[in-house]
Amino acid sequence: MELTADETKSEDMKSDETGDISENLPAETTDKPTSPISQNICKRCSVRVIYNHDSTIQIKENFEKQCKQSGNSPDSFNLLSDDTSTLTSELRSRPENTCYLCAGILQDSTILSLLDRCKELLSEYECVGSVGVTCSNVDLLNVRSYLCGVGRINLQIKTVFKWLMAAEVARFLGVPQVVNNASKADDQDLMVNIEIRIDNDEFMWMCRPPVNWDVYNYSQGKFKSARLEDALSRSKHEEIEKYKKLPGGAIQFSVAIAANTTYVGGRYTKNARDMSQTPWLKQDGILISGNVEDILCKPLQKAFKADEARMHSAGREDIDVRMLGSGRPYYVQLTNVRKFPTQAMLDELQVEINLNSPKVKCYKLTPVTKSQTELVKLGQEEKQKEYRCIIKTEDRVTDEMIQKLNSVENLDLVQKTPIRVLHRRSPLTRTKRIIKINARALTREEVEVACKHDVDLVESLNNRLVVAEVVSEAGTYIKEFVHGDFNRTVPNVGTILGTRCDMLQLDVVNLSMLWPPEKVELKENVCQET
Amino acid sequence: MLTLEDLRDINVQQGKLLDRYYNVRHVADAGKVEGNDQTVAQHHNGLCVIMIHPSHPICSKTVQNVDFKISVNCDRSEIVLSGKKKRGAQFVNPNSKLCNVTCTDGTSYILYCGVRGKLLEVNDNLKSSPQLIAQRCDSDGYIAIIQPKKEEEKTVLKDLLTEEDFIRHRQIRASNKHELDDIMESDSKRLCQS
Ligand SMILES: [Zn+2]
Repeated sequence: MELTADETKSEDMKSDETGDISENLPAETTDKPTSPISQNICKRCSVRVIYNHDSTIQIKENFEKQCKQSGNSPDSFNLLSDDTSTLTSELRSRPENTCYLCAGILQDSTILSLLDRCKELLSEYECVGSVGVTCSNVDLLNVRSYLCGVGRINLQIKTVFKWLMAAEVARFLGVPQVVNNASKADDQDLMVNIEIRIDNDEFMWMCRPPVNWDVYNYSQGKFKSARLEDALSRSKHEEIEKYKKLPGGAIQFSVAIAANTTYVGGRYTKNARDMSQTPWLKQDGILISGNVEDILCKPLQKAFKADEARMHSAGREDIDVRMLGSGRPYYVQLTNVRKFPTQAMLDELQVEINLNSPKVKCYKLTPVTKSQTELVKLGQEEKQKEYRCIIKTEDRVTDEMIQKLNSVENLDLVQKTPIRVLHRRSPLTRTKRIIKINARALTREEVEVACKHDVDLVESLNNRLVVAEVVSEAGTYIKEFVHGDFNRTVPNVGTILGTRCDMLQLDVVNLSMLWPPEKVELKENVCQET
Repeated sequence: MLTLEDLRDINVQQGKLLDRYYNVRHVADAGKVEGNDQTVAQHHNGLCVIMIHPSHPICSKTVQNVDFKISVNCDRSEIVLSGKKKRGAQFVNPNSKLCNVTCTDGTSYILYCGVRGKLLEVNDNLKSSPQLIAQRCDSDGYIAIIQPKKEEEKTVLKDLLTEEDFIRHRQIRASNKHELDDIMESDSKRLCQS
């Protein structure tokens, strides 16, 4: 999308918007730029020049106030505070001259045409909670003030331009204006990125100082800033006059809207032993239907019209392991959404997801920021995990044997990288800690259920099935702690009990980690009707 | 809390670890030494665990020593690996020597690698407790872990014997020596145990 700065202007007509402002110059601020600022300077550039030595003008509100005051005519249009909707057509019909300091960039007609284009692009998005504006550098234009004999202007064109656009875009979307700079661009829902280019050779020439000034490196296209002020202050008046006449149609704008990556946090439980976290190919090459990632991501991707949705969780459990209790912390990363998540929408989605998914459930869905998602990655390493294992022993267990398990407290394991994962992980020997075990043999009744009331089986397995709740340091391979992994994890349940052990069933029953953060600054989204 | 409901879908009859996660193949008469039978268990992830076969003569003997120093210049237990790619591993072939097992009765057996690949690990416990190789031949008494090349993962087992092939081989071997009855007997014993 391209626009020219003065496409709404007719040639060579003077308007009341750009006029002689020298009468407004306060005496005390005229000491440095004594050269004439007489005509064809827009309202905003006037303020930039007049209050050049007043550092408070760098604050948006102060600039705004001065612009208002310096507006001569009562109907003088002030974008920074008035309602634009009624004034647009009037302004369109009102011709302006091109300001020779900002080349029209800060003039109302430019801002309004750009705004129209932004609105068109923004109409694709719903429920935007916050917006930021960026703008490319316009160094060549910043030097115009020297060429025109005004000297250095501290308040840059780019700064004012961003104030104007950000205010208008925010008002259009009905969201709070972003205070100050775009340093937290990541935390905005949307970014309006505007590129300003000079596409006119004649104009380019008009922006460049003469070669004999020796302030511009023509091959690199850069100013030798150290020399600038000195050289420009010696420039002759005739030359200055030349630079004040600008050809029209020289400034080009491109507008691009980008949605920042959006994050939704939550916890999930999995109540099945045939459900993997990501799409899973069985040995025979058949894709197992359904996986945690799809169940949790697809509805969000659809609802928020995202190009992509990816799940990140604090660790993961194997396909045959259930995730119970308060669930596993995770977040979904949504790329290029067209609709931004609100708490209310997420509450509804949570209900919908859980209705359609008997095996996987999600809880506490809430919008989170990028920086908050770091907690999930950190939590993976730090936290304790609580497992419940059903163990089958080779010999029958006695109370004394069980007692050995139950007396375990802060037991350090030496664990070699399990064979199960050794193909893709480094071969290492790690020390991991079992914090506590609470075990008992299954009751006769429980054994009967587990054996589906097969009398012979019950007889064979009575006192050979043990349930153990194990609290371990995160990162402990718990399956290997139970079966020993060919004695590559020592001690293991087998060595403690003194009989070979195998794991029949494993559940993660608790994962102690605060997530999503309790004190989420809830985004006050206003859903815009467009 | 554990509920009865949690126990309903449990499979108490699941097979042994080896049967669940591994494909098991055998090498009969390794190094052309009769009875020197070995087992290769390939995990579903491709890694191969090298063991002796439960019918190996060693299993009924007392083991004195398991020596991984197979020549003056080569010690299989000298393993220096780095990173996920396991750089620095010894590369071995099916017929590469792996270790030498000496029994108290004076007999000794050379065991072989059985498959091509990187030698990731030998069972260091065998140095201090050599008897493990006999007593726990299909678990804690494993000998080594070998990682086949990625492109050979699917084919490293193809020249090895399945359980049926192995039994047939032993029957032929036994009938040649008129020992069929003995073998059958020991087989049925083994089946009863498992
Ligand atoms: Zn201007």
